[in-house]
Amino acid sequence: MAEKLPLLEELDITPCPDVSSIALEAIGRGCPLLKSFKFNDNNGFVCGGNEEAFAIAQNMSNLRHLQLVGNPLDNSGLSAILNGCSHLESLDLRNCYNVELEGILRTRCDEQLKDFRDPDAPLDFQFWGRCYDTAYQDALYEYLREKRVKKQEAERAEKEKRYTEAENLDEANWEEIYAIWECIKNPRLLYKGLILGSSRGKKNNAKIKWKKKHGRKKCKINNQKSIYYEMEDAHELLQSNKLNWLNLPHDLTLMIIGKLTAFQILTSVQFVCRKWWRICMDPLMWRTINMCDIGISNSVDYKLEKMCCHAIDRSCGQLVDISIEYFVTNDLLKYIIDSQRIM
Amino acid sequence: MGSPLKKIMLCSSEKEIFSVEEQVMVQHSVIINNMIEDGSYNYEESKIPLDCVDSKTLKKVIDYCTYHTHHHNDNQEDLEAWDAQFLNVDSNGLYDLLMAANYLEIRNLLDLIYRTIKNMIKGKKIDEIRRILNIKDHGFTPEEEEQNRKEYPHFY
Repeated sequence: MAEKLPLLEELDITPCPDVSSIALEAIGRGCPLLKSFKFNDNNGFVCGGNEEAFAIAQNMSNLRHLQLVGNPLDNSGLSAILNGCSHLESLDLRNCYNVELEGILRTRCDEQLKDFRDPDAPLDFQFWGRCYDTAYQDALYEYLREKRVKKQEAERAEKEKRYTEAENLDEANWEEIYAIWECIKNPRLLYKGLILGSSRGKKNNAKIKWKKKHGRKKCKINNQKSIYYEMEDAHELLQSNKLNWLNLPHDLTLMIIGKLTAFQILTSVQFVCRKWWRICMDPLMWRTINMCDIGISNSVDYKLEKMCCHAIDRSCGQLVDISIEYFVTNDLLKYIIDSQRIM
Repeated sequence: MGSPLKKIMLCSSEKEIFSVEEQVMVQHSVIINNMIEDGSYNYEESKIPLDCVDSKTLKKVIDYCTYHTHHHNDNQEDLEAWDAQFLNVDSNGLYDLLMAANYLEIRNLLDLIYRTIKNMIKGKKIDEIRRILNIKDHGFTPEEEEQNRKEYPHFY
């Protein structure tokens, strides 16, 4: 397994009593870039003595952070680590009672390491919980998870390169936040999309309040918004369409759909045509899910929870940001956690 | 970047030639910026051929770039009002503008158009969107379409 992760920089194998020094050697060789390693043996599974410490010292020379809570290593193991891992910045040796920190070794630790926890330092509460409450399966699960996370991150980085422009989503988010707020003030606005004439007075009111509330920067978005509402009016009236918008290049369509909210995509946009349907199936589209604007219509039961699960499924574990309002249940949160590994 | 008074020639698909201040295009269009920077443009002879942009659209694009170059110190509200006025075109015009902005890589304009289209689609039912964007051939098989309509009648 380790051989397939040459770029791994962080690894945490907390309570895995079955991991031997041979496995550590394999990890060290397979992951030459490993910077942070947590190997907390704890409990009474004393087996390796100094072997593990030697394996780490010999094979993980790039380590910056090392955590070895409850490891059976002694003084010779510690000095081997200090020799072998010259870049080490932090070392955690809590509960390593075979280490006797005295004289030269003590001063060496203090000099070489920025952050050093000696064997007698108290274990923090979190750590106790983690070591003793969770079973072996959990640790294995976490290990696998870590592996998956790394892989996904690599994939993500690749995709990000290709679609750097998708960053604009951020801005769209602000608009949506504003839209929600506005639709709380005046539900009719979003309900029909463009009942503008009668509600403009209210809208202006809302605008002023918004300005007071959120200062200049956001009010810029607000103004754009109102302008776009007006433009929408204009476009609505135009019937003289001759060009086929389906001929639009794929990436442009992607950008446009990327500006819409999850709710809109799921309720209408994805069914418009096959090309859009395919775009809406792209996990990249679902990295940010915004399910806040449900004030649109209460007359139809949209089964929001089901819809949200659907959106989460489509993100294929690449979810970065999710906002949900009003309809969250414990089950839904559980569902999100189960399906997502990066939040 | 050259001096702001230098002019460059842009040639539309109808072979009509537009003379624009270099600064204006360099500032907005990534592709023209690259062209000027790598020295492949000759100020005496070269014309930049834009075969997929017609004169009417090119004129609008140049208007946009010129205005935003000369008025970038104006307050945001005025600029936005101008943008709104600028994009008050029919959807064919919008489509052409989008293609041109994409071809010339004018980021601000692209973003503006994306948001405009988004607002055209926002909150609409499926049939409305198809009508607005003139989508006649949706590409679903009749069975799929039938099933979708049956399953989600309130989306249409």
